[in-house]
Amino acid sequence: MGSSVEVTFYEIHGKKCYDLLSQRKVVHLRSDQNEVVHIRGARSLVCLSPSDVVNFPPKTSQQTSGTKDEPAAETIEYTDYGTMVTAVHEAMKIRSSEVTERNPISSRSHAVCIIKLLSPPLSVSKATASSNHSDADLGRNDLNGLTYYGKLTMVDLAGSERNYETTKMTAAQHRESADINFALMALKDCFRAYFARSLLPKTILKTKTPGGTDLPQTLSSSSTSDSCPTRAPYRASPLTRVLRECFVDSPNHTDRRHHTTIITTLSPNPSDVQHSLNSLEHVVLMNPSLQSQVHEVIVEVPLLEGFLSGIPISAWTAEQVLFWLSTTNNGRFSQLILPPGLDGNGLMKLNMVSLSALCEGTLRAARQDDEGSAWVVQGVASDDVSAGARHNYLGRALWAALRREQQLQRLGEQSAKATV
Amino acid sequence: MENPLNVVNPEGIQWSWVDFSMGEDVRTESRLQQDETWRNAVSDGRSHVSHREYSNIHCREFINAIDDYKTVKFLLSAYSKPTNVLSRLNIELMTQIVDFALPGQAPLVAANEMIKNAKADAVLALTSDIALQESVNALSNLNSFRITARCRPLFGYEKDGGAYYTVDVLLSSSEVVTHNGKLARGGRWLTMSHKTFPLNKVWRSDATNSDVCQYEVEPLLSRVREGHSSSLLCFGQTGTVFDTLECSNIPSNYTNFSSS
Repeated sequence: MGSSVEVTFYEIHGKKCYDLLSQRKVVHLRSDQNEVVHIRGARSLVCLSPSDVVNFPPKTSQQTSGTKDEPAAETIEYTDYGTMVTAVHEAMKIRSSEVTERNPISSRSHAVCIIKLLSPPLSVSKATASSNHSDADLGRNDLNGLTYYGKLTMVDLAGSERNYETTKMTAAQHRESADINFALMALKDCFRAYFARSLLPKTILKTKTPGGTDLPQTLSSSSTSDSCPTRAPYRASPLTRVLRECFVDSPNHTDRRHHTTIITTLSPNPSDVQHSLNSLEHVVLMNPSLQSQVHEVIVEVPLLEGFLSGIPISAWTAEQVLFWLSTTNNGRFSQLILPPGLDGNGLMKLNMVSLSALCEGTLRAARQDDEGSAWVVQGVASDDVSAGARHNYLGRALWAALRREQQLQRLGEQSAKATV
Repeated sequence: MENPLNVVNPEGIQWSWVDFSMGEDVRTESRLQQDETWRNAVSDGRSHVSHREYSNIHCREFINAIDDYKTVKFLLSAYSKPTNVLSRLNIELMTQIVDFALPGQAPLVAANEMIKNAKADAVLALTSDIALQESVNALSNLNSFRITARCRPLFGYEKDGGAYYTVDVLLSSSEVVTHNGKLARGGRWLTMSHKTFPLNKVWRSDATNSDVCQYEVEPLLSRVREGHSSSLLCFGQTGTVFDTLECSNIPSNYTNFSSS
C-alpha cells in the first residue's frame, strides 16, 4: 500500500528563506503558540495515493489570499507522482545554478526539504494514539480530511569556508560566511544542550517538566543547570528554528524520540584536508561523548630533499655556504654577506657570540665594507622584536638554523642506515 | 544526467553517485587562475607557499609520513594485544624499536600510550559514577542521534594532478583519521598531525549511494512511516557535492516506495 505525501522545499540564505518550488519567492518562518515553525507563503506539492484520490478527492480552493507584506499562508497543489519528482529536480536545478553563477566555489545556503506523510484518519488513529506529540509538531492537523502522521526533514547544510575565497571576498560574501558559521555554531550549541540534558539524572529532569515543580528540587536542578544548559537555544538562527524538533525531545523517551542522522562528506584530496578537518571538528562538537575521544598525534618530519643533503656542514665549500644561506628559512638570511671564503668548517667553528658579532654589533671589521646598513635595516624590518631582543637576534637565529641543519643531517644519516 | 567527470574507481566500476553536473570540475579553471596570480605576485624576501602547493611539492614526504604512521599504528595494535609477543616489551624498548625502524616516528608510541591511559582513566571515572555510566551507555547505544562520515573517492583529474588520500577510514573502529601536514617556517620541517575522530558510522570511498541510503536513510524512513518525525542533515564542504545529490535522490526513492 502506498501513502500520500506532501513536499515542501525551500532554502535558508542568511536570515531569509526562499521557496525553491516557486522560483525563489521570499517566504517567512513563523512560529505558532506551540513554538512549531511554519513556512508562510511556501508552495507545497501533494501527491495522493490511488486509494486516497478516490476517498478524498482534491478540492481546488486551497489557496488563501494574502496581502503584499504577508503572503498567502500556503499554496497547496495536487499533482501526480511524476510531476512532483520533476518539480523537486527543477528545484534542485534552481539551487545549483544559483550556486554556480553567484559563487562558483561553494554553496552558500541551507536547503531544507520536508516530506510529510498523509493518511486517512481511520488507519492513522492507532499511530496518533501512541504519539500525539508528533501530531502537534506537524503543524496543520489535517488536509482535506487526511491526517498528517510522519515527517522527514532533509537539510543540505552550506559548505564550510574555503581557503581560496578568503583572499578575495566581498563584504557581502563575508557576511554570508559569517551567517553560515553562526548557523553552524547555533546548531552545535543546540545539540550540545540536548546531550547535556540527556546526561542529567532523571530526577532532575522531572522537575524540568512544566507543572510539577517543587522548591527543593528546583533549587538542586538550577545548580546543575549552571554547568550544563538544559534548554536548547534553538531561537538563535533560522536553521535551528527549522530543526527545532531535533533538540526539544528528551532523549530519555525512547519510544517517541526524534531521530537525527548527520552525514558528513569528506574529501581525501590533500588540498582539501583542512576543510575535511574543519567539517569533522564541527560535527564532532555536536556530540560531547564523541568529542572527548578525539585525539591528535603530532610527528615532525625532516625534509631532506635538496642540494646539500648528503654533505656534512663541515665539508661545505664557500659557495655551498652561500647557497645554504640564500635558501634556508625561506630566504631569511639571503641578504647576509659573510666574510669572503668562509666555508662550512669555518662556519661551524664560530660560536653564537662570534656569529652575532659577524652580523651585527661592533665588530664590523669582520664584514665587507658596504653591506652593513642594508643588512641591519632588513633585520629590523623583517623581525619586529623588542629593542632588547633585537640585539644579537640575527646571529642567534643563524646559529639556531645551523644547528637545526646539523640535526637534520644526523636524522638523514639514521634513516639512510635504516633503509640499508 | 550526464557524467562529466567520468569517474571510475580502481576496480573499473563506474561510480553510481558521482554523476552530478556541478562540482569541482567547474572550479578547476578558477583554481588555475588563482595559482597563476599567486605565482606571479611580488612578495618580500621570503617565499610564501600555500598548503596546496607544498602538499604537492613535498608529496613524497607526505605519503611516506602517512605510510609510517600506518606502520607504527599496526605495530602498536600488536603491542597492545596481550596475546601478541610484542606485548611483552616495555614501553622504552618499544619506543627504541620504532625509532630504529622508522626514524622520527618515536613520538607516536608515547602518544599512543597517553591515549590508552586517558581512555583507561575515563573508564575508571565512569565506573565510579553508576548513574552517569548508565546514561552514557544509553547514549552510546542510542541510535536517535547518529553522526556519520563518508569519504568521497579521488576524481580522475585529481589523481592525474598527483593527489593522494589524506583521509583514512577505519571501518572496524568506525574512526576517521586525517593526516594534515604543516610546513615549518624554516621550510625544512613538516609537522604532521594525525587526528582521529571516532564517529557512529563511517563509510569508505567505495560505498555506493544506495549502501549509505539503505543503512542511514531507510531507518529514518521507517520511523516516519510509523508516524514519528526524523531529520537528515547533510554536511559537507564544497567539492564533496554528495549532500546535494542525495537530497535530490531521496524524495524520488521515497515516493517511488510510497506510490508503488
